[in-house]
Amino acid sequence: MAGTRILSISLIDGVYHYVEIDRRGGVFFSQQPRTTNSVEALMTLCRSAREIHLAMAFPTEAVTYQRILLPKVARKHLPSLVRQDATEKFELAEPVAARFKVVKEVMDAGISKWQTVYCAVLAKHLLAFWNTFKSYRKKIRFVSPLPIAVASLVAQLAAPEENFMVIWVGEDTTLIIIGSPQGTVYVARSVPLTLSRKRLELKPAPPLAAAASDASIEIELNMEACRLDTGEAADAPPAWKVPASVLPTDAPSSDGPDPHDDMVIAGTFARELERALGVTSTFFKQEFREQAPRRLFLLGNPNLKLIHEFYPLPAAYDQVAYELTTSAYRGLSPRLAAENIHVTANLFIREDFNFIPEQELNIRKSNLLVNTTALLLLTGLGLSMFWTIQLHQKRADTLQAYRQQTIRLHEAQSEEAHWQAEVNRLKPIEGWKQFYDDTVSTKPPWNMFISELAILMEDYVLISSFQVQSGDGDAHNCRLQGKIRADNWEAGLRLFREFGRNVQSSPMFDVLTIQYAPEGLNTDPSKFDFEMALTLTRPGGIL
Amino acid sequence: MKLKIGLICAALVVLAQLLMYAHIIKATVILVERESQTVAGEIHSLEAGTARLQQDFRRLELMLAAIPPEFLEGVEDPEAGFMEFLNYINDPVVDGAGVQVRMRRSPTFTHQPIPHHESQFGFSFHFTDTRDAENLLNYVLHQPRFPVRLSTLNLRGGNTDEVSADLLISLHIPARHTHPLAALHGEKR
Repeated sequence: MAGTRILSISLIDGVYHYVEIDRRGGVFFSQQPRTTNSVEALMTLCRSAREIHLAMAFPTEAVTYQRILLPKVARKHLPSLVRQDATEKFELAEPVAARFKVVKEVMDAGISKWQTVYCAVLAKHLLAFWNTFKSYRKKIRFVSPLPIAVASLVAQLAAPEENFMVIWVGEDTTLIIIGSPQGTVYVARSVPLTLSRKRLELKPAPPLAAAASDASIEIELNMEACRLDTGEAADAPPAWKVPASVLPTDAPSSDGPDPHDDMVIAGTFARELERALGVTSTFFKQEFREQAPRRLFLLGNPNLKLIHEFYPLPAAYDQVAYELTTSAYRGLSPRLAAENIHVTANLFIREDFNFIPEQELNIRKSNLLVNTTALLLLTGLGLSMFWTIQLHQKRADTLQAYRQQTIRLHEAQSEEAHWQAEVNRLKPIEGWKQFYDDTVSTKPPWNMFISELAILMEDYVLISSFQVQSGDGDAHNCRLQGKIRADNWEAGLRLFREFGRNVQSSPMFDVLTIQYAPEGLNTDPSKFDFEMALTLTRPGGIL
Repeated sequence: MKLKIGLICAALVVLAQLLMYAHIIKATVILVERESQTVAGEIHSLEAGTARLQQDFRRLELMLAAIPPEFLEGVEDPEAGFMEFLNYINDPVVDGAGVQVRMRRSPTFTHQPIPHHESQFGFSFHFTDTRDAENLLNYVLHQPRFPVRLSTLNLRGGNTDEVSADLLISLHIPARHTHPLAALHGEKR
C-alpha cells in the first residue's frame, strides 16, 4: 500500500536535521534521521515528499512565549490584541507573527478575561525560513518553533498530568523547555551544553574534584551567551559553556576510550545541566509564580540515563524519564522518538501554533475556495451531462414510442374505417331483415288456427265474432266474443272458466283478459255474454 | 489563479447551457409523453370501436344469411309487382271459394323500414268448413313470394253454421336498391 512520504525538517543552529517518514494507514515508518547543511539536498527530498513539516530553533531574540490575560472580547479581535502585545514585548518596530490559544476564562479583579498562551516570532526570521522552502510551499503542512513541536509531542505521547520539563541534548546545543499538559510552552531556552552520542564508559572513579583537577578543566562562564528565550535578557540567568577540550570527539583515539575521561565528561555535563535546570526553574517560578516542574524528560542522547545513574539530579526532580511511551502510538519506537525528538516532534505540531504565513494561508483559502468551486462545478457538470445524456436517451425512446404509437393509431384508424365501411355496406340489411320478418318469415299459423279454435269450442259456447288485429311478427292480438249457454249465471261463469282454461292450454292462444257479463244484465237468462282478449301466435312461442 | 477563475466562469456558462438544454429536452419529453397518452387513449377508443363494428358486421352477416337472395332483388316497377300479385290471387283457391276481392288502386310509398310500395287488398267470403277458410288464408298469407301483412280478420257467426269473414291485407312491394343487395350474398360466398 502506497503511503504518504513525510519529510520532517528542523533547523537548529544553521544545521538541517531531517528524517523521512512514511505514513501508511496512520502508522509511521521512519527512516534514519540525518543532518545536512545543503539546501539543495533538501530540495531533492522535498520533491519526493508529499508533506513537509518544518520546525526551527529560532534565535532567542526572535521568539517569545507568553501567557497573558486578554479582555473578554469577540474571538475575531483576539489576533490583533495578541499581535499588539507581542509587538510591545519585542520592543521592535518590526512585524511579528503570532499564534495563540485561549486556555480558559478567568476572573481578574472582578473582570472576566481570557487566559491566553501565545508564541510570537519576528516575521523576518519566519519568512527567511519559509522562503527557503517556498518552492514547495504547497507541500508544507506545518511550520513552528521547535520547542512548541517538542512540547506538543511530549504532551501527546507521555500525557503528563502537570507541568513538565523537556531537556533535549543535541551534539551542538541543548534545549530546555517547560511545557504544560496541554502542550503549550512556558519557557524555552537553548544552552550551549553539548554531549556526544558516542557511548560513554563510566566506572567508579576517583573523586570528581580530583579528576577535574587532573584534567585541568575550566568552566568558563559566558555571561553574554546566557539568554532566555522569553526575551527577558535582563533577568536571564547565565548559561554555561563547556570548553571544547572536555567535549568528546567522534574520532577514536589510538588508545581507545578512556573511562576516566568519560567520567570527567559525564560529571561536567551533569553539573552544568543541573545548573542550567536550576536557572530555568528559578526563572519559571519568578515569572509564572508556579511550582517548578518535577517531571523531567531527558531526551536526545543515549548516555543520559547512564550519566544520571552516576550523577543523580537533585531530589526536586523526582520523576525523570528517558523515553516516551510510544509503543502503541503510530508505530514510532520509544528510542527513535526519544533520541530524535528534534525531528519526530514535527509530526505532532498542533494547528493552533502553525506558523504558516498569513499570505500563504490566504492563498490556500483562496485555492481551497477555487478548488472547491471547481470541484463542485465539475461535479455539477458531470451530473448535468449524465442527466442530459439520460434525458437525451429518454427523449429518443419517447419519440420512438410516440412514432410507433402514431403508426398504430393510423393502423387503428384504417382498421376502424375499413370495418365502418363494411358495416355501412351491410347496414341496409337491417331494414330488409325487419321487412322480411314482418312480411314473410314470421307469421301465425293461418292455416290451422280456425280448426284449433273449433276444437276448443264446447257445446255451451256460442261464438259471435272473432277478430284478428294487425301485429308484429308471428304474434297478433285477437278478440273473441260470444255467449255461454248455462242454467244460471254462476253455472255460466263456471263453464266460462273451463272454456278459458281450454283456450289457455292451446299452444296457439294466450289469454290476455276476459270479461264475463255481470249478473242480471243479460236479457236471455240462459245465455251470458263474454269477451276474451287473446294473442295468436305460432306454436312454440315467438321465434 | 486567473486561469482557474476563467475556467470556472467558462464551466459555469457550460453548466448553464447544459441545464437549459436539459430543461428543454425534459419539456419535450413531458410534451411527447402527454401526447403519447392522448394517442394511446385514441388507439384504445378506436380498438373498442373496431370491436363494436366487427360485432355489428357479424350481426349483419347473420341477418344477410337469413334473407333469401331473390328477396333482396326488389322490384324495379311496383306496377309489375302489383299485377303479379293480382295474377297470383286469380287462382281457383280464391275464385272457387266465392271470394270478393277489393283493392286500393293507388299504392303508397313508404321509406321505413325499407323503401317499398304498399297496397291494400280486402277479401270477403263465407265458409262453413274451416278448411276452406284456412286454405284461403294459407294461400294468401302463407306464401314466400309476396310480402304481405294481415291488417284485420273478422269472423262473424250467424244463426246458421255459415261464418262470414272479412280479410284485409297489405301488399308491400320493395323498391329495387341502387346497388342490389343480393350481390352481397355473392361477395360473402
